[in-house]
Amino acid sequence: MFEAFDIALLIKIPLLALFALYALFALVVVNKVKSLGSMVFISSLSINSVLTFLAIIHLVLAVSLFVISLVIL
Amino acid sequence: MPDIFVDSDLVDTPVVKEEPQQEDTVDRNQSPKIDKPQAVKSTSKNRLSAFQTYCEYPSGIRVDQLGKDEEILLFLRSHHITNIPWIVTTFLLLLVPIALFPLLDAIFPSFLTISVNFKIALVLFFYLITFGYALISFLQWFYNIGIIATSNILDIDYSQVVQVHVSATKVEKIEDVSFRQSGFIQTLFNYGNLDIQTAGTHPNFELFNVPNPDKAALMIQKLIRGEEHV
Repeated sequence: MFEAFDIALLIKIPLLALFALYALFALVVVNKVKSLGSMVFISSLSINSVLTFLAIIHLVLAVSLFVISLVIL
Repeated sequence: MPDIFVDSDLVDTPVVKEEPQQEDTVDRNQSPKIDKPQAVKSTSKNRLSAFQTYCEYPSGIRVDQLGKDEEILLFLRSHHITNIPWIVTTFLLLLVPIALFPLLDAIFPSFLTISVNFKIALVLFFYLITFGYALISFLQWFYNIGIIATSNILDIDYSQVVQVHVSATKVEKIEDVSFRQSGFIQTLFNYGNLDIQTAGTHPNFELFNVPNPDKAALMIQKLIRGEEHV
C-alpha cells in the first residue's frame, strides 16, 4: 500500500509541475499578445481584443487545470 | 514704372500695374522656400479587414514603428492557404484521445488500472495543449506582416512563441526587389516569396508566401523610382 502511495505521488508531483509550467507559458503568451497588439493595431472587428481574450481564456484554462488536478489527483 | 527702353510702338500701350506677389510679404530674412514636388492626389483608401492578406492603401491600421505622417501603401501577410497544415493538424489532434484511449486499453491491459482521475487530467491537458497550438499557430500567421510605407519598409516576424523580430529599412536603401513563385500550389493560388535587397550591410528582406507577389514587387519598384505617392 505504501508502494502504491509512492508511485501515485511520483506521478502526481511531476504532472502538477508540468501543469504549473504550462500555466506560466500561458501567461507569457498573454503578455506577448498584448505587446503585439499595441505594436500593430488593426481596428477591424476589434481583432486585437479578441486575440487578447482568447489568450486570457487559454491562461484561465491552464490555471483551472492545475487547480483541478490538485483536487482530483 | 514704365521701362525707358520700351519699344516706340508700345509707348502708347497702357502699363499694367502688377499686383504685389504674395511672396513679397514674406520676411526676407528667412531662407528662400524650395518648392516641394506636388504630391499626387491621395488614392482612395481600402478598409483593412482583420484577416486580409493583401491590401493596397489600407486604412484602419496603425503601426508604432512608422512615423505619424507616414502612409501605408501596401499591407502583406502570408496567403490563407498556408494555414491549412496547422488547421488540419489541430483537427487530428482533437480526435487523438477519442481514438487512442480505446487502442491503449486494448494493447496495454494495465492501462485500464490507471485511475480515472489521471485519465481525465491527461485528456484535459492534451486538449489544452491543442488549443494552445492552434492559438500560437494563428498568432504566428496573424502577426507575420510586411508593410510598405512611403518612406520605410517594415517586416514583422513573430515566431517561436516569444520571439518577435522587427526589421525596418528606408526606401532609399533598397537596391533591388524580386519575387519567386514556384510549384503548382503557389501558381494556382498566386502567392510567392518577395525578396527585397538593401544596400550595404543592411539585412535583406524576404516576405514569404505573400499573395500577388508580382503586384507587390511592381509597387516597390515604383516606390524606388519615385513614381508612387500618397
